[in-house]
Amino acid sequence: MSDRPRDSAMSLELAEGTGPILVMCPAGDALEIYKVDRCFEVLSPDSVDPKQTDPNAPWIVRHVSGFGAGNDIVARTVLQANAFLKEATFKDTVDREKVMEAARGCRNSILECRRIAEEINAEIDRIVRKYRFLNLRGNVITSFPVYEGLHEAAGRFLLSAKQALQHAAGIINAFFGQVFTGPHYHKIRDWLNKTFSGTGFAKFIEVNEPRIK
Amino acid sequence: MRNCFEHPGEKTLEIRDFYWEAETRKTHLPTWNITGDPPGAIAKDVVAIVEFILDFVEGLIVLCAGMQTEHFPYILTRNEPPKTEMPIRYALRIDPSILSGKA
Repeated sequence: MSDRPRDSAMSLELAEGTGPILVMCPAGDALEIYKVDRCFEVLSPDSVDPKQTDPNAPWIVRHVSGFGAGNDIVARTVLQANAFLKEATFKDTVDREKVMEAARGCRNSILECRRIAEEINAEIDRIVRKYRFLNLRGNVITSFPVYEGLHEAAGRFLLSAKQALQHAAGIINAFFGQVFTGPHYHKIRDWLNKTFSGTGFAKFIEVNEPRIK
Repeated sequence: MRNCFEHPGEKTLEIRDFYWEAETRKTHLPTWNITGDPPGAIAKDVVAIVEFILDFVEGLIVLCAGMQTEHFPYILTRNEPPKTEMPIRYALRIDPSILSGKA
């Protein structure tokens, strides 16, 4: 039995955040620990020092997100997938790690989409308040509102939306052993209509595919 | 929309900053549209798109999981209402009819 400090048992206390730990999810080499309003990532000594060079390699806990289990995006992506994987038995072809990896990717991209959406709305609100009374001199409006960086913000939003859809394709890949790359849902639609014709899943993609181009 | 933004061709994503509409003499909030389509308010659309993508991803997880279970017949149930501290909306349960010998 090893007597290296890195191999000894550990306990940790998560002071930040509200209430108790609600759920723990595997996250690659790490473990994600959720409170209602926080997410922490715990890295084991083996993750921190995979080559085992340091007998004193520490456990590392980091606060990775201000969004916890109470956030609807977190709950309806990563935590939903995690719950299913714990609740049921799945076919051997299902790659659980990749399911969670894709779900985490979706979570991060949708959170980013929402952050940018809020940024865009806040900026428009700010401009509208600033230009509430247009300065009209004769028939000249001397200062008309401008959203500087609108194209850039819209581009960032659409990029994150695309990334979310790419990760979503990864969920299908992980559950069915497929290799769809990018958000090419017309290919996924065709595959489903060929392989799972008439199922709710095939219809779901058929209906939604035109909206995600 | 994202295709037209990334790969503009015959149709492009047209983004319009605040603008003055002569007919109504009103200032319009920023809009966007694919060439030929009616403009939509960016502020409202981005919020709706986030909700759509979230619904879509959740739907994918539910449908994929539902199709790939084995060993037992599982049924999908809805958590009503979802818990506020962790609003997961669906659960997979072994079909209770087989547990009571009715299957």
